[in-house]
Amino acid sequence: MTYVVGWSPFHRDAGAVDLACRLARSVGERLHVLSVFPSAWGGLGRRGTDESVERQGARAGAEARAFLDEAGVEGDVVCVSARSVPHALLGAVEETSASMLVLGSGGDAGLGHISLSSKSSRLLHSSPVPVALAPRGHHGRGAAVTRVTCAYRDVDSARSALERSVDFARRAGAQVRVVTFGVEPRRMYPAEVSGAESMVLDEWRTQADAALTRAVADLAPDAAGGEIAVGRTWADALYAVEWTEGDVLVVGSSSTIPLAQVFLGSSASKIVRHSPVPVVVMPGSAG
Amino acid sequence: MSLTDQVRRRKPLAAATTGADEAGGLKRSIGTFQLTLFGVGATVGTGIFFVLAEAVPDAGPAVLVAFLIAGIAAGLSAVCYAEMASAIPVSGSTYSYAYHTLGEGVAMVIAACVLLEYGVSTSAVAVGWSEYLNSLLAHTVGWQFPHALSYAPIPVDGVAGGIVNLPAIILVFMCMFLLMRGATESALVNTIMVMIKLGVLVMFAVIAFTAFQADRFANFWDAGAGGISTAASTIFFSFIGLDAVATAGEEVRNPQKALPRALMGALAIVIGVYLLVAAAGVGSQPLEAFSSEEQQSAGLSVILENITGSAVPAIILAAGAVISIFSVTLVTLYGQTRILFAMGRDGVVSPRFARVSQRTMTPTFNTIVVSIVVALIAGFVPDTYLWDTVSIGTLIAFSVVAIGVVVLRRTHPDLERPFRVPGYPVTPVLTVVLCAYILWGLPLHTWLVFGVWLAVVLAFYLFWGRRHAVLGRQPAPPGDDVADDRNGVTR
Repeated sequence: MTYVVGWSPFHRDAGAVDLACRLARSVGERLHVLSVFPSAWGGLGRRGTDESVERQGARAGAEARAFLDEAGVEGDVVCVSARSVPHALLGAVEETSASMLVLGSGGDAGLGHISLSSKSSRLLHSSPVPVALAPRGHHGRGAAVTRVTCAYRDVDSARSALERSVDFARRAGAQVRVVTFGVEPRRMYPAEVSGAESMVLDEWRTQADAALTRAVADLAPDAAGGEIAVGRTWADALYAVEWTEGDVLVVGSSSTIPLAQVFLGSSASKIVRHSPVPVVVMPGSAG
Repeated sequence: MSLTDQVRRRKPLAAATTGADEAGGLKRSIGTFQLTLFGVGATVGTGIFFVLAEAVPDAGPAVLVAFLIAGIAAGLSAVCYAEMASAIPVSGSTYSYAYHTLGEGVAMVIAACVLLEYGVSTSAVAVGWSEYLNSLLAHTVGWQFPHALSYAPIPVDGVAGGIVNLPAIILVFMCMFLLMRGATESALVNTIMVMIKLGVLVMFAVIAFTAFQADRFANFWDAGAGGISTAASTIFFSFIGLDAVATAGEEVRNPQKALPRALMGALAIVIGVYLLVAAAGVGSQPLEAFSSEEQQSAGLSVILENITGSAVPAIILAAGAVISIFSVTLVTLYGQTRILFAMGRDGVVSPRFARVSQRTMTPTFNTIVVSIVVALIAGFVPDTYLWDTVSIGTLIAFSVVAIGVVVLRRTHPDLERPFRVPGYPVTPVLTVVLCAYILWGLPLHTWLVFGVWLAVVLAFYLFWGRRHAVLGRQPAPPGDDVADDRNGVTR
């Protein structure tokens, strides 16, 4: 099996290849690093542009090769030109029957954070295989994946994400941890009703806890256990659990439907944005 | 367990007071000023936009006195409520306080009151919104919902009804969707709403004073004590919400100082503005005009239009009302769902009401059921019947809270109370007396509606609730204040 890596020739951040090396080493996969150039436009100035593009491509390829060699990971480095980057990457996934697509963060992400560029958003919604996202400046090719944290919620699609996390962790020889993240509901103060939201939050916690215990018992009996992490904001919630260098977070993407993202932003996409560790987004089609 | 035991059983106080710091405790982040605005925002809702047309015919110019009495009663009730909320820092509502102090039976009576108050007031508010929406539409785009689709089918005072109040139903369902998505009215929005509401009311008063004639206040006391009491009972509706100051109290820095100041501040602002509006209204037109058909809906807008002969002030007022009443509906609908939530948690209604959607962290089932019921009432019952029903529920609930304060002081004198009622025992006693006086003014049919509703709730309790109450499923605590942990007993 192969992991396809989206490797922008204009990158300023090596997070994607870095993460890909780390994942590949942990589970023994090979990499297919793909740099995609925009197709030539034609017309005046075309020649000069092509030359500079070729130079950049060669440089990016050499860099990727150096990363792979350093990490001791097998793989090939390819440079193609195409009209659409997502389209080319999805094509490569199909060609190589890849089992994962690895992407970097958009340039506007804070160091150590993930942001979804327009290309990665599109890929998240259309990729048939899991998509791994590296935080900007991610640097962990030396370390192995030691723990897989699955963000779990009591909805059907989350069960398939959990199953896949367990599977992934087993192949990487990593521990599984199951966490339900939540943010404190915002409050209103109607007359004669006090503490309305602490009441709801309490119940949510009780119900989430029961669901978590059930899920862990059913699907991840070897897991280190379940945790519930609640914070005022999504960032607080994610920092309410401890993270180590060997952590990878897995989320199911059923709720990252385009509509939810455009209007309100689903929980999954918020978890992705605030994650301090690399994230693997499991496609929602299974759920 | 015998019925008497069931009716009298109480949730242990120790659980409430020792394990009270829920969900890691809330940050005390609200200051006096913001708290005052909460109070004003929660109180100046819809009542004042409609109440003149209902109350002036009852009390005549002495409607001013009725405003004062209703305001003082609401203020005193809120003070009592604040002590109760600080002594028993549990999540829930007046119902929960009664459950902890006076037993399950009284708690069910209170639950009936509060459910009635909230359910009906949300409907009433939605009906009022629909009136102002129609007024706004008619003045701006020249089209409004046809009569058949903007009035409930029950005729009022000889005025023919329609088929259904469609805008009110639409409003309730819009709020339902917002609540299911977890939307709230933030402190900033609340402040803006307060400004809009006060702004349009002051504008009304200023314009209405231009038509002021002192002789319209002649024969001030003609309506007598009965008339004033009747008017006060209707007006009381427009003061409900003052105790929001107390419900937000758990997040207030230095509650002993901030609470009473914010309460008094909010009360002073609200009474001041209401008196201004009432005096301006009464002075601006003959008494008979208030009972005219055209003023039965969107009354303040109509008065403005009559005075100025221009539609502009009426449009501004209607727009202000449409915007602010929307947020009031959201908050009251929310309150209703959370009361049922507390009851579902205690097992006296189906625990499905306490199910929280894992996705949105809101009680979805609860919100849908509540919204459907509220929408049905709003769509098919005219608001005249609704206002009084709200008042009766609230007044009884507040009286019980005042009694609860006295009971708790006697049974648990050492309980820590971050806020204590000033002027004890006069304040709680006076609260009960004033509430009783206002209750006396309520018409017979309101008492009948209330009696039937109470009987329904109690019957439900007798046949279902008392057997399913979570409290009954636990081994009975040997004493009152046994320190059961929260997970064991109050869940």
